[in-house]
Amino acid sequence: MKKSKFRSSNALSRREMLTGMAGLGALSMVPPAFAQAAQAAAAKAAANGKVLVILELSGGNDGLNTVVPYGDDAYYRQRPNIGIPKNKLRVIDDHFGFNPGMAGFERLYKDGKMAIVHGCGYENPSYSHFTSMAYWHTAAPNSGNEYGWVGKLADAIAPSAPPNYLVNIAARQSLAVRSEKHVPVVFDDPNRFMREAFAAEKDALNAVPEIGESENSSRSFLLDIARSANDASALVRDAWTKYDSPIDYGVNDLDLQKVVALLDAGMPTGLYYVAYRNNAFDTHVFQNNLHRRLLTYTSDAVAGFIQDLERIGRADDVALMIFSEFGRRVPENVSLGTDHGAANAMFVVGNQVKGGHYGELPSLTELAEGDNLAYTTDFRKVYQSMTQGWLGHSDSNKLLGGNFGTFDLFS
Amino acid sequence: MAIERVKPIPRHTARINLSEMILEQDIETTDEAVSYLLARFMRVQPGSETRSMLIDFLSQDLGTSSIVDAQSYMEDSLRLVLHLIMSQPEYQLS
Repeated sequence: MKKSKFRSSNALSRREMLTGMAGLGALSMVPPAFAQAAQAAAAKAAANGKVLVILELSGGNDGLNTVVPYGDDAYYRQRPNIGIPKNKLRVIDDHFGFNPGMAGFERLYKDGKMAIVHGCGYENPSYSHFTSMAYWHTAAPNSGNEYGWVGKLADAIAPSAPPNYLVNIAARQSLAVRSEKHVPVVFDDPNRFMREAFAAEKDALNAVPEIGESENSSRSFLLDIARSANDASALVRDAWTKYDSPIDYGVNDLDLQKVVALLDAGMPTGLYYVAYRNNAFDTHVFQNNLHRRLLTYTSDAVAGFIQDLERIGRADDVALMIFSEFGRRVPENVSLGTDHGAANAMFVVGNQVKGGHYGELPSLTELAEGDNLAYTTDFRKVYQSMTQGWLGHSDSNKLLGGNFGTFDLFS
Repeated sequence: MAIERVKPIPRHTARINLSEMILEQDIETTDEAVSYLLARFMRVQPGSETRSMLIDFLSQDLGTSSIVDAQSYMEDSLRLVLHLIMSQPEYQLS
């Protein structure tokens, strides 16, 4: 059979993989416990002990009705029906007010714990949820990358790939956390984060042998992965069982309670990825009531998260970045909603954040193609602000494909 | 309507007879039965610890290590053993 010309020189042939290569030592992916602890400590040191949590608002959140520029008349001209009047807003300064549902965000902003970065986007924006989200996930707009930016960040910060460093709470793994070296811990319901089995089989299934030296490196790898999965799931279930918080996260905690549970249990995770799922923010029709509810849930969850971090004494160690794959068109549509747009606001929240407005305000009159906000900040500048300014990783060229500069977001 | 669009997926248990397969081989012990199933279904054999675990599991589930004694009721137990075999990480190397 003709070999594929795309075959990597590092790939094992099927025969080699199945039967093992003679003389090849064990490829131990999970070192002994003391080495794991050392790796976890090294990873923590590499990230300055800091934790980054990313919250994705899927569907294209309407930034203009989130942080409303009531001080600009153009906003009301473009949105005569769905524009929110000033007297309904949660006013934060002489130009902006939060959507009425966002009591939590208002509190966080006024406490100086929230940075709002305006006009975030990229050149030649895609109006497809899937395409644009993939660009944000890989930090490679109009291009692409095999790995997600959060996965690459984990590889850069913790190249020895200690277990449980990267956690994605979701129904399925996000492209954002796809990593070359790390195996992200991906789960949805902690109570169901285990192998399904008949009752009689449970003990047998959970027993993954320590095989030490093996002539079959593939077998060693698979057993290490299985053991890692068993250990991670046990840690997660245990952390969730022990978690007990009086903090009110509102209707939908957006999995942020699980993040706090893992932090409180001492899980050695530096990077967390959660999302408001299922394109919830795709508000094409009768937007205002639905959007207000979505923002209320988001705002309550984030505010609860920060309070819960204070409760467990980790508020100074954690920063939360919130984004959406695009904003929405400036003019409202005939269905009292808004359609897919471009530039949008991003939010960075945390005790160490220097609150305020960042980035140049996009114009509501000099619009880009399709009556969209023209971006003024490359979203990768916010990413770099997190990776460099928060986590202390300086090689942005390799991580993000360039040097996009940083905002001075952290004290 | 949504209900009309749902096409039921027929589900049935695997149409295999593990008891027949085992008996045809003149196998008499759980040790031999596990060896046969591993050879039959796994390309890369698991280690001795996994093999011992499977033998112990089958013996316990049957209440005996004698296949001859258990031949009239061993199908369910054999299916559980096969499920365990197919759940082993090494099964992915098949």
